[in-house]
Amino acid sequence: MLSIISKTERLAEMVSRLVSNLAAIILFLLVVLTCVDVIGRYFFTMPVVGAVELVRICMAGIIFFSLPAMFFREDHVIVDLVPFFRKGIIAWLVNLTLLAISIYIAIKLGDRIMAYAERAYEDGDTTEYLSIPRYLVVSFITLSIYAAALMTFIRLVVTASRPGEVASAELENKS
Amino acid sequence: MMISIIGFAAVLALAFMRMPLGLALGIVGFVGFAELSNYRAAISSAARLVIDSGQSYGLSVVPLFILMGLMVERGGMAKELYRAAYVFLGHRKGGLAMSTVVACGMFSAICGSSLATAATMSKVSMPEMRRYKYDDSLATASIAAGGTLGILIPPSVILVIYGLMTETSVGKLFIAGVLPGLIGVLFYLGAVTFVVRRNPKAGPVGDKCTWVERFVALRDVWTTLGLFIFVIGGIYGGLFTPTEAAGIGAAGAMLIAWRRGALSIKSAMDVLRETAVTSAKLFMVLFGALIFSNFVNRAGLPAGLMDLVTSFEVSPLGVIFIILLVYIALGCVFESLSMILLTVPIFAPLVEGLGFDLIWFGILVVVVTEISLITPPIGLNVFVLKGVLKDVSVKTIFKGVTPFWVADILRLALLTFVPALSLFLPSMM
Repeated sequence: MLSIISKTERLAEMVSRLVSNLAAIILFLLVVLTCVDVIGRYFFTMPVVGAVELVRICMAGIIFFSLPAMFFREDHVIVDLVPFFRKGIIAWLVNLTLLAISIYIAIKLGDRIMAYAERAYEDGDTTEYLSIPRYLVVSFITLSIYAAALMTFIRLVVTASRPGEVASAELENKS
Repeated sequence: MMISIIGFAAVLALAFMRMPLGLALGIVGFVGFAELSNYRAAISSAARLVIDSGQSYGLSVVPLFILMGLMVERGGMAKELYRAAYVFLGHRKGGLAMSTVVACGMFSAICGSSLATAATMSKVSMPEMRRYKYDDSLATASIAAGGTLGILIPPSVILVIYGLMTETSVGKLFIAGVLPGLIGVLFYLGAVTFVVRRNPKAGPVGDKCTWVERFVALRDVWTTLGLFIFVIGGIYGGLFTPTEAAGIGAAGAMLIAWRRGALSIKSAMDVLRETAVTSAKLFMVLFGALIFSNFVNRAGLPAGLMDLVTSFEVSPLGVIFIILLVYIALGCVFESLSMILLTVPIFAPLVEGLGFDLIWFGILVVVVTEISLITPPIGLNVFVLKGVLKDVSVKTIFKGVTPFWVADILRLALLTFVPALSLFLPSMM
């Protein structure tokens, strides 16, 4: 059982690294896009058509590709003031509860966003200049949120298998 | 109003239990909104917020400016900036601490993070100050305080977040931060002077440099300073939107780092990955803050606060002072971003309702946040320094920071009483 958990954790880590790399590449493309747009506009009077739409899509790529990795590593902004919640059995139980709540919220939110994606698909909604179907981006956001829920579930199982350990607090200690 | 107060207390309770701040804000905002309307309206509004903010054009400046700051940090430009300040100020009493403050100001002009400014400058200026036998408290305090300028002198990630939450122009906020940032540098120089006048041994003089050395030092920093002038000048002159300026700034910083041999493909990927994750972390909190903001607005908190203020017959400026005191108190326990995201949705509508300019208020909020970075017991910049300089005690740093803290309070008072210092430059745009 423990070896399955450990293998799943390693697999999730690999997936996290992969999606983080994708987010990094999209970020680089965003830099290139904004520069090409400005240079094109001022030196060749030829700005990138639909640059604003592309920037928005890049943003979704950067944020929502990073989200599952962030949830897996529990790499959140945390107000870390009460040592009582950093280690020990109570901290562990609180951490498990918070992880379970995170999964529930992510699934509920994902369901609602998927409904928006379905509506965008049915309405044939597209972006103004490049006519990119909006349901593609909204579906991607939905997938990312479901992936974040799955990653949190894996973290929940890993945490449950190590009573008394709070992974996020240990990560902070190491850094 | 009561439900908003309960909501605020619930956020604090969940946050203290180590629930991620974004989730705490989001859950409380969602439950509160559902209580005031219904579940479907609450979940729909939250989903819409995530979809829209996650693809916001205006917010694309966040990852781009974070990237620019990280590239500058990795590019090792801090050393030249310090040298450029040193050749002009090093020969004065406390000159190395003064050079540190000025170099922090220059570094802030290309990096939007106070923690990164303090961490980077500590590695460059501390060895020099140790070499000249500077008092540890003055040396560390000048870095901790100088580092706070990172979030005020543009570009500033905190100002971008504030701009989004209050729907004020990020370009104008950036420009508004320039003069208060320069005043901050001057006041910190005053604090150094005060310390070395009281105790000349705290900051011995350094070597005097020739004009040739000064020109050489300036030549070494022209690309870095040129990047700042190009980026911020471009926004001021209306040549670029903040997003375009941030993109060009990030590309420029990458080029400079690459030309200096500080950037390989692997290290570039590391920086890009770090930027993406940091941005996602910020966005997570932002999503929560926006959901929470929807809830407090729906609960009528801004109007309730306004009624409360009217019933107590407090003058508008009196309200501002109360708000600033609340910020100083919160700054003792909260880190900067959390504090801003928690409070701006509550205070900004009230401040606007009282007839104040939100750009001016934004600058005040950032200055108070700067103060929180060096205020005990949390003072994050102090702890960043402690992390880098293991042999200096936190007590020593906090002791040294006191004159700088006083200088900050004086600057805050000046900026509160003279709004033109923040609003003059944006009014020319």
